[in-house]
Amino acid sequence: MPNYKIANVIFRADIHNEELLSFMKDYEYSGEEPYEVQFFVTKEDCERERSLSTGGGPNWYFNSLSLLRKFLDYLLDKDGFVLHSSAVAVDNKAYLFTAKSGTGKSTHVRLYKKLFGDKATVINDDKPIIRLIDGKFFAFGSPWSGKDDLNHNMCCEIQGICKLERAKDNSIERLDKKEIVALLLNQTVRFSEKDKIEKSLALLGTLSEKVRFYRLKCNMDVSAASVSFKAVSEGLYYED
Amino acid sequence: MKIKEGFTLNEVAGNYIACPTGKLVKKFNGTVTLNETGAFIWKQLESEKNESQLVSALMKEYDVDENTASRAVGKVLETLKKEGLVD
Repeated sequence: MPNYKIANVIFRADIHNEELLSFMKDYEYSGEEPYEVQFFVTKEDCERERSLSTGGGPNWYFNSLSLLRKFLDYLLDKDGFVLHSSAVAVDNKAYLFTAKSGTGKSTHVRLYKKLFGDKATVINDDKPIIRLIDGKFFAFGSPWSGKDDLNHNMCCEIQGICKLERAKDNSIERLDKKEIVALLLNQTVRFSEKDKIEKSLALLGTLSEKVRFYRLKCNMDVSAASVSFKAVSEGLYYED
Repeated sequence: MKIKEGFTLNEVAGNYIACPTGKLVKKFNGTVTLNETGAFIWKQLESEKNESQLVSALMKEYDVDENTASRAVGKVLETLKKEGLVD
């Protein structure tokens, strides 16, 4: 049973399946620090994930989802959660793009690769893990990164979050509080226990106050990445 | 009238969000966003109230006349009832 380190949490997971071990490989931890929690995934857990999902898949895949669920449950007490978004790092700062599935967040992140080459690294293309540490929000890589499996075991402070909308021409503006909250509610995991709901909403509230949010209207030209990068890296429209 | 059992109301960055808990999550797949007036009325409805009690409470809290309070209460109740949030 290997130890893993994800979002600065060192844990042990009861995994024996080859595919699941391979899935988690980049996040194995062989350092000196002890694990703080251990996760077990049962047959019932796997079946539960399968019943909650719309598609099919092998058992190990649903085991991975169950592990994610247990991890997120634990992480909430550590001021951590997942945001359905695509996260890319440039100069050690994370740029996050959220949108309804199919709108083009992954496409936009690929434009960052086109624009910056090796200077841009995809942190996680589907569900980066976000944690509040010492008053700042960081985006972490994790193995849970959607169908294209794009992720890197890395961590960056969040520079800004963009709500992406398709448009003919590129433009960017600040997002108002109400829209920020709606966006966050729609793109995070929802809990059913009252105390967990309270905790996660408090975290989202802090995120909406500490991080800069934008509405990015864009096309698929590489200039779209220039527009979003310039505005977000400079903290445009936010007086400090 | 009373708000359906099993919701939790929280403030998030100046917005009021009501979320279903436990078994209600399956039935109400979503959250309710309320403004300040809506949240005030929601909190009032956490214990059994009739429409005139809501109007009085609103008048007192916001120092408004009966007409204004009545209209506000009517509007909020219409939405709450439509969404099946009130018992």
